[in-house]
Amino acid sequence: MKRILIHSILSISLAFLFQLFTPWWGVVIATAIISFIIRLKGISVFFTPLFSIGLLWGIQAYSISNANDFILAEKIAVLLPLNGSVGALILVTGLVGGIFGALGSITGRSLKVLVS
Amino acid sequence: MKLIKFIISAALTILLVYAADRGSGTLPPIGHFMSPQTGFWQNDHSESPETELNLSGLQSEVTVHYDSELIPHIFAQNDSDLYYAQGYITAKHRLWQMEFQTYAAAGRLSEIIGKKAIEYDRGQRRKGMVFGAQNAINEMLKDPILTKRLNAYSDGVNAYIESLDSEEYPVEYKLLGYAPEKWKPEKSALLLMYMTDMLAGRDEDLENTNFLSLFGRETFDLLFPDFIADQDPVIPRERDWTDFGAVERPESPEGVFKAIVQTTDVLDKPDPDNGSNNWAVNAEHSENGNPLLANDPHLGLNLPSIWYVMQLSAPDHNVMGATLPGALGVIIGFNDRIAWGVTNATRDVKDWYRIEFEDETKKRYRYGKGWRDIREVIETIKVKGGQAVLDTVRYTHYGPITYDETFKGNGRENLAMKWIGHLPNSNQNTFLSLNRAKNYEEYVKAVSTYTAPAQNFIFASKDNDIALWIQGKIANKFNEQGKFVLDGSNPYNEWQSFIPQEHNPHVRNPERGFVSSANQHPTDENYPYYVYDPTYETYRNRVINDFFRSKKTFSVQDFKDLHNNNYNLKAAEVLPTFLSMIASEVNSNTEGYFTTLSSWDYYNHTDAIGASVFEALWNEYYTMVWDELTESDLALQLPDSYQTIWLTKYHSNHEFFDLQSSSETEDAAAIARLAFNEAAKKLDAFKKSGKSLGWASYKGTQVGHLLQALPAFSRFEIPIGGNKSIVNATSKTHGPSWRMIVELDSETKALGVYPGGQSGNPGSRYYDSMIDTWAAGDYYELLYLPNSQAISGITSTTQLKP
Repeated sequence: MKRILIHSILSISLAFLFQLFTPWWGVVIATAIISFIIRLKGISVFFTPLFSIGLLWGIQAYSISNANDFILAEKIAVLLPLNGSVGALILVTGLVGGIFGALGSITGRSLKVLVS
Repeated sequence: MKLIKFIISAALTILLVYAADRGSGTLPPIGHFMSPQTGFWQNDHSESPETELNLSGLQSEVTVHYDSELIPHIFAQNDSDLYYAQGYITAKHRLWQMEFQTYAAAGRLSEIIGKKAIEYDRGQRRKGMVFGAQNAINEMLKDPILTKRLNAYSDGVNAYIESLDSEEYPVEYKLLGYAPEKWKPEKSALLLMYMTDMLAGRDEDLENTNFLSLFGRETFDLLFPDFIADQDPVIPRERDWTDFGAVERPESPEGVFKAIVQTTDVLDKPDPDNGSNNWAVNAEHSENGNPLLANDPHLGLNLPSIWYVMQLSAPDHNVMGATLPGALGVIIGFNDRIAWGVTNATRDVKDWYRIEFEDETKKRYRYGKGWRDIREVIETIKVKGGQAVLDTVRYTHYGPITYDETFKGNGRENLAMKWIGHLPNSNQNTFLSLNRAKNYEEYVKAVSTYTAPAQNFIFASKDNDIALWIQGKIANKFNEQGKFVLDGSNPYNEWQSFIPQEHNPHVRNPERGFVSSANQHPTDENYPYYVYDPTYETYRNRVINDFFRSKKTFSVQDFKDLHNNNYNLKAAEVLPTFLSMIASEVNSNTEGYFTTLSSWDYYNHTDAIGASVFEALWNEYYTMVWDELTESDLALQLPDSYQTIWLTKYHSNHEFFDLQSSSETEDAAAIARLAFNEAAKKLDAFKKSGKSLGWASYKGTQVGHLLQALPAFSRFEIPIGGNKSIVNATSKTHGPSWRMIVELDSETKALGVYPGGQSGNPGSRYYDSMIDTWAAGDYYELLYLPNSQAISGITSTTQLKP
């Protein structure tokens, strides 16, 4: 459990840092690196970054949009279409980030297994 | 096994990242788009202008004040800096729109939205949109001052584009997955072509020719007359034209000059309701003793709005008003001496010539006794996610062959377009000169070189001059020249000359004390040149002119009331006839509607149910009357409302009233009864959907985003009255796109509002912030600052530093 927590904190930090100067897929590299360093077992290789990166994207999305009364978020939630629900839009955002985080994590982990 | 696992996970990851970075087909690049760091979330903010920006392209410092509606007030110390700043600031708030409109003009939408735009793009190329823009820019670049200004504007736009990281791109770029390209002066010319096409791109020559071949001359003249009895022309009838002396006008040729061509498929046309109102009174007719001027151009209601309001000030002038993102200066506005406005002065400025080729190679075409060479242009239409499409467009000396065996028309014949929009021009200069004009003489000089789209340029000055020039470059035609398809091999069918500019109809300080225009006929029958257009408006002008004849003096409040006037003259002229036709056969299903209609006062106010019932009845009636035309295989235009009503009243047994689909013989009254029953059913169904039958609800006015009215970025169910043919010309998707009232007091005062907002960003509170004010019939007091030091009413300031 402790390992999962450390993995989460490190991937959120590294992903946050990477995003400042990489394209959006910096998060994939971040989780790959963390999973290369920190060994997670079984399905947690997938689910830990799913939640941690999901959380990162969700919080970032919420805080940007909250400052503007969710004006655009409400419109994009019509466009996608999510029935205008900003909550659902943030959830989907987190899910997209999370899935790519998870993909990075699996790749990092499998590389580690390969080289060790 | 370990290796396989790694390869699979790595490959899957890379593949998905790639897909989510690029997008495919209609899917946005989902990873890029959803990322809080790069995607749409970055656009979820409203403008908070910087206090300082360094722009190396400037010569001196420029001050940009913003007011509470995000209207920029730009103070520059020289001309170049002024237009540089205009370009920069406009791009900052409207970049995606200004670029998109030039893509649309140039027939490049397939590059952005894929193969569904190919036919549209082909049409734009075949209309010669780029050809026209090129001719214009070549002409403009002959003028060193204008060249400098165009380049400055372009540099300003590019300075903004270059300052952007991709996460800062407007949200539409992210949605469609592309990036802004460099701006060039040619794009300003393309934007002006876009307007020319919108306002002077309509003709009905092919449809007229079809109608003539189907129904004959007599019926054509009955349904499509050049003049109507109730006309109240732009230039008052009092004007007699004898001072022109004997004018030179080409003789109508003997015998057949027309080409009989039947066509089934024609290009989409600009909205026939593209038009406007303007009016002005002089000091003697103004309650405050100051000349007053108003204008409201009627265009498609879109977001981002077609207009962008700005104040532009340099040492030699200080102008404010509505600009067109992509074009320089103010298009409709005022300065400290004058105010001006425009309405469309439609005229048949687009003609079609049938071209006869020498042989199948299509290299030469017959002209007079010989042959002329074709210029071939191969158009390359790039398509997002697909192969580029090549299209060969052949140019004659008239213009491009738009219709041929590969494109619309009748799949056989070659029809070349002659269009005023293709001629070299410096129309941009007209507006820049108006921005600086101080009196009547400078106004006349400014408009005199203007070619297209022809406009009713209304004018008022602090010298107490009011005036209106109907200005455009108009061919001096023989009778009915270009009303039908012409034979391109006969040189006599050419536009032989143009009406001398000083003979364009105009009026200065008329005795009646007001000038006005609303897209109606420019003159009465005595004007000595041939005047034709199929879309002259017949209602708004009479309501406006009647109002100005109704009393001696007028106030700003009167001007507001007239902008918002919902009187439906069309209904007033036909409804009593309808009611007497229907009365005998009202049944229990229609009784309620009949009572509503009988007690309606002809005002299309927001809550008027009578207006909804009338509209439903009229639409059914109009469709049933002209069933012969809509059901024809040939492309045809329907007669307008005015002529339909005229026929109803005075020829109620005309064979057009007979329904094709029934075995009986109907007259107008029978059709009115059928239409009323049908309308009642439609109204019942609408009511069942749970909506109110009040007019605003029934009409459902909307302001749609430029990308095919993308619902998420559009506004619906806007509570506003009016309709087409009403002075408040707001229909479902079309209406007053800018309302301006100017009072030429010692300090110029002005009101303005438009159905949109200053920001092009759907994530900004300024995206649609003026819509509610507009719908309510209210205005903003435009903050016309005398100089950069005046800061009352300013909410923020950006210093642009070299």
